[in-house]
Amino acid sequence: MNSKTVNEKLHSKTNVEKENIIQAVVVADSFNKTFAPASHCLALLPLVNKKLLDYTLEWLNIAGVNEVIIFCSSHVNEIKQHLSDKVYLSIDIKVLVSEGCYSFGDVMRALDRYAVIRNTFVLLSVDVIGNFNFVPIIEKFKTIQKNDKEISMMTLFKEIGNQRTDLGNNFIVAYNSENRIIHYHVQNSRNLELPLDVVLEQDFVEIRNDLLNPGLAICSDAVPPLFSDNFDFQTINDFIRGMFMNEEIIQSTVYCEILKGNNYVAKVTNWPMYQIVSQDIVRRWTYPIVPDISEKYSYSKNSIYLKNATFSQGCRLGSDIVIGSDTKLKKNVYVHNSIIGCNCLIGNDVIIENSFIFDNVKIDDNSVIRYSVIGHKCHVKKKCVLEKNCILGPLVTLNAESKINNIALISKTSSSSICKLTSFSDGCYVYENSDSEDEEIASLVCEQKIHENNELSSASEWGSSCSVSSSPINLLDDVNIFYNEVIDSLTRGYEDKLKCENLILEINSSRYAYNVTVNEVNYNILRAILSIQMNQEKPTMKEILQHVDSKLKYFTPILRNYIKNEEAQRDCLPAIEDVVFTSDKLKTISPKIIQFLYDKDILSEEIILSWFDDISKNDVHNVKNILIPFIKWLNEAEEESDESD
Amino acid sequence: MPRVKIYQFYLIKTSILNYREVDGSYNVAVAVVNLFKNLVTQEKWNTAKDLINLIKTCGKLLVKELPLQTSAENMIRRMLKIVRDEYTTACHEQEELDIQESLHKIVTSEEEIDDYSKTVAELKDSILDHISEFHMELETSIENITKEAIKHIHTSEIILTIGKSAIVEAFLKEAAKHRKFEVIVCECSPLNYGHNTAISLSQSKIPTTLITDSSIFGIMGRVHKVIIGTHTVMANGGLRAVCGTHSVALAAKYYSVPVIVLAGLYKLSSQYLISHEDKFNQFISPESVLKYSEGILTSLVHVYNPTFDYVPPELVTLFISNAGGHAPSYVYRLLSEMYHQDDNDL
Amino acid sequence: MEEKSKEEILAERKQRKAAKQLKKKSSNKVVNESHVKDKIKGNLEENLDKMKISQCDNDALKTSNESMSVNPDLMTHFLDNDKKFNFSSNNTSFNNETSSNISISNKECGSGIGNGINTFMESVSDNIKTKSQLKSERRAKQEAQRALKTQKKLDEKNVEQFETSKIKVNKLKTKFTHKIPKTVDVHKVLLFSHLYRNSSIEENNILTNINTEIHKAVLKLGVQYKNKVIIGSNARVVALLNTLKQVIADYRTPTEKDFSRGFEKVLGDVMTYLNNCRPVSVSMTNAIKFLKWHLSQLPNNISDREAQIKLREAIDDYIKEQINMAGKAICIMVQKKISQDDVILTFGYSSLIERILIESFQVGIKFRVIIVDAAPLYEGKELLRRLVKSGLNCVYVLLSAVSYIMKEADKVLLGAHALLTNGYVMSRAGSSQIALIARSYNVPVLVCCETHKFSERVQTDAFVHNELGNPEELMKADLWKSNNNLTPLTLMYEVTPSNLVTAVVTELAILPCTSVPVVLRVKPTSSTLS
Repeated sequence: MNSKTVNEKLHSKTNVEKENIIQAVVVADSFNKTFAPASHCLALLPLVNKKLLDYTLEWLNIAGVNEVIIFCSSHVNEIKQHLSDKVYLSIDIKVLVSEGCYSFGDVMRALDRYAVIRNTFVLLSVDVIGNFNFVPIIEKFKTIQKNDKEISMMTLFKEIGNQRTDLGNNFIVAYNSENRIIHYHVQNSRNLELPLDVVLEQDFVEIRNDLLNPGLAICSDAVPPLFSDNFDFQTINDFIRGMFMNEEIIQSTVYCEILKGNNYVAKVTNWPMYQIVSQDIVRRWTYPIVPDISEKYSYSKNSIYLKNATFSQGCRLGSDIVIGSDTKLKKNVYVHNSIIGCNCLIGNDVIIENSFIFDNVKIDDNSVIRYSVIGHKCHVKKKCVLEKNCILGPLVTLNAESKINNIALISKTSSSSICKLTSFSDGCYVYENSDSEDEEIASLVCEQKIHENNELSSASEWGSSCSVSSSPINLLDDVNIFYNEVIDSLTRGYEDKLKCENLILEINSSRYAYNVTVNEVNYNILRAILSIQMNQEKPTMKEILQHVDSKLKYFTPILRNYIKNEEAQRDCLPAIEDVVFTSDKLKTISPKIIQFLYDKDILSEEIILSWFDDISKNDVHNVKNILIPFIKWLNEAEEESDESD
Repeated sequence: MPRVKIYQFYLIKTSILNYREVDGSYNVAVAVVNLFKNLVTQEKWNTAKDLINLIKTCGKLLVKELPLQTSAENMIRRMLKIVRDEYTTACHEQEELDIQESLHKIVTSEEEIDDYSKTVAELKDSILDHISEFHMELETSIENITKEAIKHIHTSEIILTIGKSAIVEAFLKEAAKHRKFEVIVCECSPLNYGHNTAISLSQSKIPTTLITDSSIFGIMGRVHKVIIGTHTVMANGGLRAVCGTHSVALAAKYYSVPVIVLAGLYKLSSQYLISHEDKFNQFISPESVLKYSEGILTSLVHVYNPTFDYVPPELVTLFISNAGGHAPSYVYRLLSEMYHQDDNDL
Repeated sequence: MEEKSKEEILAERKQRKAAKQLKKKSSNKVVNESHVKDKIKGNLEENLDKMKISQCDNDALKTSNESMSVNPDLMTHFLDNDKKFNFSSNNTSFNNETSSNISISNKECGSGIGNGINTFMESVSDNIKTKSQLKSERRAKQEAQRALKTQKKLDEKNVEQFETSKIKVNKLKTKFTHKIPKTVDVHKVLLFSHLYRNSSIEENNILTNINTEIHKAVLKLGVQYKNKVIIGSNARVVALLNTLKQVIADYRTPTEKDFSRGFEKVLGDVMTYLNNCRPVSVSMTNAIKFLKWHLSQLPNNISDREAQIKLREAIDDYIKEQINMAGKAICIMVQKKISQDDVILTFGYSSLIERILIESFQVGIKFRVIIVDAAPLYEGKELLRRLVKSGLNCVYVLLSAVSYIMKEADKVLLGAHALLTNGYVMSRAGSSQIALIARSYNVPVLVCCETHKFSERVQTDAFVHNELGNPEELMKADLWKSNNNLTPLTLMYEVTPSNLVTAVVTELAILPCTSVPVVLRVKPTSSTLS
């Protein structure tokens, strides 16, 4: 880049043609009360000492966006006032107000009414934090648009890997070679339902569940009208699903773009995400939107950010700390992994760990604060102990020596809302979320999940399987996976009354997928059939019997298919040992099970008898007595049949 | 401060942030010079004192916005120096035309201290002329440095360089027109700028070997010269250069290989190293070191991805600037020639 | 892995199949590959079974003892042996555990071994196909296959890429067949030309050896070495010794030979094969020397079984004393040097360093660890994973940032590949830079190294004896393959001069580097060995 191009850049930015400007619509409301009572207005919730709205605008300012439309439905004045003294130089900011919006869909419909969208635009919510430039992505959108006129939306996903289960990435997306989404599915169980016809139409399908959906999309100007036409769309996800489910009717397509590398994006949806995103900012994943660059903090090792803070003798700082300007820490304060706002006063011997302290908070001597959020202008008096998930709303004064745990408190002045008030102490009330029946609001994550996390344990697993004389651990794993798959298919087949032939096909395909031997297949099939769980919690004997009976009846074709010869019979008998004899309830009905198999000609007499001889030699499960009557009957039956011959 | 100007500063800031260039110091310098040219022409000022104050206020703002782009700060000092020089020459035109201050003059010139408040005719034009001249000097600086190439590179030598530096590339390519030699490029992970250098050099038919950072010490024993670029030359002759340069310089010292640093004069800063964190280093996203998708590890481990290394002056053999070659110990003298002592604090 | 859906797996298989067909087409061969593969696979499975069997060998031996009628004298002798055997079998399992701790890999083990088998099978099928072919053609095809393989690795899922790769393969093929004489020296750094391994010769050697009677466990081990599934000198030597135990167990002396003579030959073949897969490490050479010495001590008329027992014991003792106990001793010694709130800087991955750090942490010393990592292998990530799992507080940086982070460090702990007689430390490339920077910041550098890694070799630079990494990992092949002026180069090892190392921690004592020859002299085993 030489001087000329720099100049051109200076000019090009000032005179962008009206048609080519990039618009961004920021929805400044989440329509829920996740972060109450700490902040009632999502846009003004502080995250690492900066309001969420400021993050969004700072990002859009460097992201190649020219015009930002902020869409508010509540707290309009506060937001406008907050914006009044901010200067963002490459973006024009408009604030649109539409009260009476109760969902994201309502916002989109209002947007359609306002008719401010001129072209392709970026759609995001104020709680989305990111750092990348939209220009290349929008160019991609436009090239796709040339080929596919019906493109309405391009959703952006961030690649986060399979290990981060804490980010709420419980969805599966399938897309074809052009990145067109052909399936989107919120994952509740391990099963993936993918309509076959959708897949068959494509030469290439990629199915992924290692992504994070930040609710961020590039939209064509056709999107707001589509929301107006379809009143049931409440969220972007509704929209995506609606698009590929009613593709013929709506005639528009949804594409996706996977963000990799330095492109960071995340959505602050709840307190755990708030913790994660805070840490990501402090650890600089959001670079260049980090406190030292945008807010002129000074940065030092162990991710400590300071700005005009005053320390006294004996203060100790751990790691991952942000302390805002003009905050005073008195003697022997210990801070670790916490964010402290501006103008706070922290008394002697205070311990603050894993907490978020907003601006103008006063904490008196000897208090201990762990895993808590302390709102704007709170006052925590002497020797208070706040442990685990305490959330103090603005202006709360906590009396000396209070010990609280897992509670949300609000002050009288801030309690204008309808929620019922339970008095906690003078001027301080317990906050109960008025609409908490709908869904449990996730609270702060209070321990570091070092040991139970998958990735690390899997690392050790393969470490051990790396041993030189490696016993076939991998094979075993495959068999287990196979077994689980069989269980899955059978359960589903049993519940949905699928045809057994189809189930056999399914089992066969899993069998080949995991390279399982015939013997293991035989064993696992019977094992799976026998161990399908009942729905009732405490079934009576009779119910169990019925359940087992109906299962066996239902799956007889499958058993017939696999257990054809004597060897197969021998393979599957251990399954009875392993499942039936190990459960007290099933044990008692074991003769019935074996008899059923005998009646259906799945097991032959000789095999059962020789097997019985084997197990009665060392009767581990004490089944001899239970089985003896049956065996006797069998012997008699044999004799009878002999006689009859 | 007029709003327009703030606007321009921010544009510089955003354009730099967008590019995230490590070696963009030349572009920054040019942009800043253009900015001040506009400032001189468009703003209203009467005396040199006014202008100096104006430049200083703008400069402070700019430095605040670009704390790590030392070339911006250098250019501001240079602009101030130009204004002061032009004022002095205009005042003393009849006495002496020699701009260069001799040692004698510095010692004896105490009574000359002026508050720059006299109105001088045609000051604006002469300043603008001087700035244009300086602009030319900037633009030719690469050319002037590459002219030195054949004096330093000989046939069948092995030259080692690190990372990506426009001036080193030009220097080597110039030498390759006359001599045949080999170049070893360190890839400079995690950003791997070395890859670009290696490709660019090899396309100019220079036999190039790209090595990992870990092989530097192993291979240094066979290297004849280390030629590197730098982001900033500190006031003591030390370098603020791309990460990994310190290793290279130490290895070169161990094997007594000369280290030649190519740097235009605009990279000469009056800063000293105080600490890495204090306006020296830049810590970018750890993504390139440890992927975010690595999973839970990322939340349990501190990962640092600094951009710069400090190389102490004793590891540098020679600087080559557009004014010729200098030893690191000579940097202080260049500084006093280029910047006015009153401008050390903006 | 688990979340992979069936469809995905099936799709992948289909692609793989397509790739195979493609390969077939490109080489115009009629040999039924899958047949060969199945056969080999069967062999390997059998092999795994055999491993199990060899583990239960004990019991088998016991029962055979029972059934044998022998005089009381011999009987007691056998009983003695049995005791020992039981003991050693415990030992074996313990060793297996440790070796599992030591061995690391870049890939998940399963896929790693899978890959290994695949490449192995491919090489076999090559052999059959190309026996009657001209050398040049073979080379061209191998290049093509390699290109295909990398392509496959790049994106296995992408079907379309196979279309392009098909074209590419064809192109490559034509290109290589046209200018075979030219390709010989391009993309080779002259200084290191002696280290480049001629891939076709190498492959040939591996192939011809398959025809000779090399034990299957060894074949597997070779593939593991080659694909860097087992890396690190301790892991490699433990893997070697464990494999040799199997070889010994399965070895039957030919009628006309002595046990020791015959087995020495087998050993020689094994080592040539392994050396072809990847140059053997110093630790392996020392272990083999030790084994050969034991072989030579065996009486001439010794029976197979007795010899096997003796050798197994010897190997178990070696693993126990030279690796495990030595590691333990070093741990104890270094623990004393780590004080509360220290910051330890380490580089790459060393099983010994991992053990030291984790044991020191478990003893209750609170310290932080800085892990420095670098290309080519990025082993530090594995150390990071393991240390974090054990609860240590870690910092992770790349080699280029070491100058920034070194100020914080109190001590530098480094592992070693070998200690040379002139006092130089041979270790993973990058270690010298750490030592150099540590010296400039006045941070002491401790190299931890068991004496079984001491070598009688002398080396002063990284050129004479080294290994080269895969250049394609450094830079994508399409960026440089067509450009004759550009050569990527990766060194695996380098030697650190003794003046950059403060001290070497061995199980005997903490010594200056220059004491290596003294140790080599004093050490009872090695002196008797030579």
